[in-house]
Amino acid sequence: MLHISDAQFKNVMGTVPAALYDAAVSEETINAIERVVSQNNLKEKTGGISAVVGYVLLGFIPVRLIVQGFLQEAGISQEGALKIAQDIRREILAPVARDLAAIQPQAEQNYAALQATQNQGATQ
Amino acid sequence: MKGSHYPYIALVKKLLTDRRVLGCLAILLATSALVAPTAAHAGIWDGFANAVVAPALSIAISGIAWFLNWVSVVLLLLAVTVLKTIMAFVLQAAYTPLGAGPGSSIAIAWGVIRDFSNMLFILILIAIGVGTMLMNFKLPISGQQGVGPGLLVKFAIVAALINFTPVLTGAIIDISNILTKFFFDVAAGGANAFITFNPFTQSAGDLQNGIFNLDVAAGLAVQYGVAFIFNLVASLVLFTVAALLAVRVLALWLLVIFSPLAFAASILPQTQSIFKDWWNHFLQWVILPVPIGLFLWIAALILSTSGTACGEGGMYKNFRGIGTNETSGYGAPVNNVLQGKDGGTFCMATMSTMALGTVIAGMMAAFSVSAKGSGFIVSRAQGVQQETQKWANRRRVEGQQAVGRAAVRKARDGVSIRTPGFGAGALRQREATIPGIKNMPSKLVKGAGLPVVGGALGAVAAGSQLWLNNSTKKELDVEETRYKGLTGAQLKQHLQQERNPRRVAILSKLLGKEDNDGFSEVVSKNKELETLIDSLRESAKSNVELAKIFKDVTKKNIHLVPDADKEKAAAALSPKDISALPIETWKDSASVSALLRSGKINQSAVKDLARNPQKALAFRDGVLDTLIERGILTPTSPMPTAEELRTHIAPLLNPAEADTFAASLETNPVMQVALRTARSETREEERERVVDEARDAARDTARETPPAPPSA
Repeated sequence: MLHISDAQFKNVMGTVPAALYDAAVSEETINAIERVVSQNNLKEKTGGISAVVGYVLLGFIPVRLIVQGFLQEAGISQEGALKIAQDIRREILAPVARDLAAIQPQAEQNYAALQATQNQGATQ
Repeated sequence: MKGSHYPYIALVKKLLTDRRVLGCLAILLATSALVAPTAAHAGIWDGFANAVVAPALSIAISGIAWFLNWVSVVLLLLAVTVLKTIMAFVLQAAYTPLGAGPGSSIAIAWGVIRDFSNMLFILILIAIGVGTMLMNFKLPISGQQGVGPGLLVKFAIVAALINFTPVLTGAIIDISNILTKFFFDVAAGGANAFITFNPFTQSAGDLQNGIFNLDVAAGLAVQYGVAFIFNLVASLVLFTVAALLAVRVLALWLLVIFSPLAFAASILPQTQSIFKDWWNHFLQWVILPVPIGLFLWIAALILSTSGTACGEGGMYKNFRGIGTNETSGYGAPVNNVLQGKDGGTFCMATMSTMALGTVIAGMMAAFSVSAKGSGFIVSRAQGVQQETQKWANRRRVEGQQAVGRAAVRKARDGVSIRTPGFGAGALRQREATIPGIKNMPSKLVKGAGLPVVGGALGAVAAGSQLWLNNSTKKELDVEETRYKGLTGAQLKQHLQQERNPRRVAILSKLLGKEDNDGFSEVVSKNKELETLIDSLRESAKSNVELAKIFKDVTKKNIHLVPDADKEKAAAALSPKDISALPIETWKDSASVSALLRSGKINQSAVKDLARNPQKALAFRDGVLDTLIERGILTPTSPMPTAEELRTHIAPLLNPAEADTFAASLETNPVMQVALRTARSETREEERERVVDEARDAARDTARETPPAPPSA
């Protein structure tokens, strides 16, 4: 589970490329999420799946952690997470692959910062 | 010597009797014949080819081609004969029992269907009776809401008409047949013209001319091939036209036979579609032969004038003589195909093809025109019916008004009059004579119900609101009495444990602790704001400019509007206004609650929120505060999942919109991230605050509690 503060949310939002932000709020993405969850019979997990898509598109987590994200945020099985990740990559991430690739170093940093905050909170 | 030649003779005999050898020989001969005309093969072989192979091939090729052409010509002749017969039959056939006579099959079948329909009338009558009792069919005499004839009137008309369907349908068919006859008479030669003016009907005499000449035979073969295709297509087209006309006769027979049932079906509203279907089909089949006749006539015109047009002085004379002037070699067959005997074959063939195309176009037009024509007739008929009905209604209303006025006048004078008719006029007269309302004008009598109903509804609404307010007050009073009689320490203990904002407020009030959670401060600020806005509103009543500014400001800042008016203000917002709402409004739980209740936070509003991260976070705060204020969540409870949020928000929304709203939140990645951001921070912050407060309270309690006396 990611623990994001308001400040972190605002910071990351300030650095998201326009193309990726547009993709995150676009009708196509929303329709694709509806389609994918419907095809995989995971309608009750829509919120979690949608959140992970948001995390990836907005650069909170790197693309490589998408399956892990589905496992933790949406609480779906390993097999289901792999299938969903494939579908999401094909339907949503592939059209913005170039922009996504460009923000991956930043996404790694953001994720590391989030993890550090989380670990710090847990220690305290 | 003889004996020495014997094996060779036997071998030749064996070879000549072997089918495979003979086949190879034939192919060799044929191939040789094809390459024979070249100059390189002169000599003995040329002589053999010219003398034996060429005539044999000529006979075979031209013979086969001529036979095929002959078959196609025979087929065309058959098609023409059938079409002419059917055309005559279409005009002469008896379509109705009247024309066919009493003993005909159509008369017998129609009689049976009519009798069956008469039996159905009994059922229809029962249906009207039951329907009237159950109030499904209002006003069976004057029609629903006074418009159009009622079911009983329709029933009576149809019951009479059903016996005259042969006359009605026969009249319509006759009108169509008169038009059809006009075109068929002039187009009678049209079918014949496909034979008379057909440039492709070569006779066997042509065959004699070139039967032994390979060049002429090749030309003939091509000519016959083209003729075969043309005649075949023409036959198919003419057969199709004939079949269509024949089917029309059958279709009209069936439609006339079933006409009593169709008319009976027109009575009940539930079965009127059957009558409409029947009527559309009937008109389509009736109109069908008119365009066919017209286009056949045009085709006949094209064919009959083709001889003149393609002649020496005709308009298409330039098409004559197309090709070369060669009479031998490869040019000869080409010229044979293009020019024929009189030089106009190409032109004639073109004209014939155009005539055939016209007939095909006629068939297509027949389908289109019959469908559109029937639609046009039906729509016009409906238009005439509506106009007539409007006129009749106007006349009737005028009559009723006159009667009503007279009735009211007479009723005022205490004199009753007789109503010369049925319907609303009579009803109004009766109303006018009822004691107590007899002095009221008829319009007032009718309109009096609306204010009464409105007033009743208003009273119910006001009563409901009063009940709701009293209930809330009672609930608060009950909450307050719960803590009555408790000591200050006990109240504080309750306050430390209590997470329900309403109870926290009550406890704070009872303790006189005005600064608890800043609640009183917020309340007082809110009161100040409300007072300010009230005074502004009062001032705006007398100042137009201020009123405008006030309206604009409150429209764009729902959070500034008093809580009681928020929902009303939210309901008045357009989608554009919603997208322009400031962050402060989205942070304000009362505003968010009002927007949710008024159904204004729909899918597009959620998308707008997602486009502005700060608004998304503010909305998150507004939603959470709404849920906390309502006691659904406490500040320390974990952030609800998407499903929980859906359940929690549902009571605030119109049930029909709850799912759409929740789905629009769930599928929006940015909104989900924003909502999950709240999960970590709100929980941590609130937990810290609650822990601090508990610590302070414990310290206060410890300070206030006197130390225990030392034990002995």
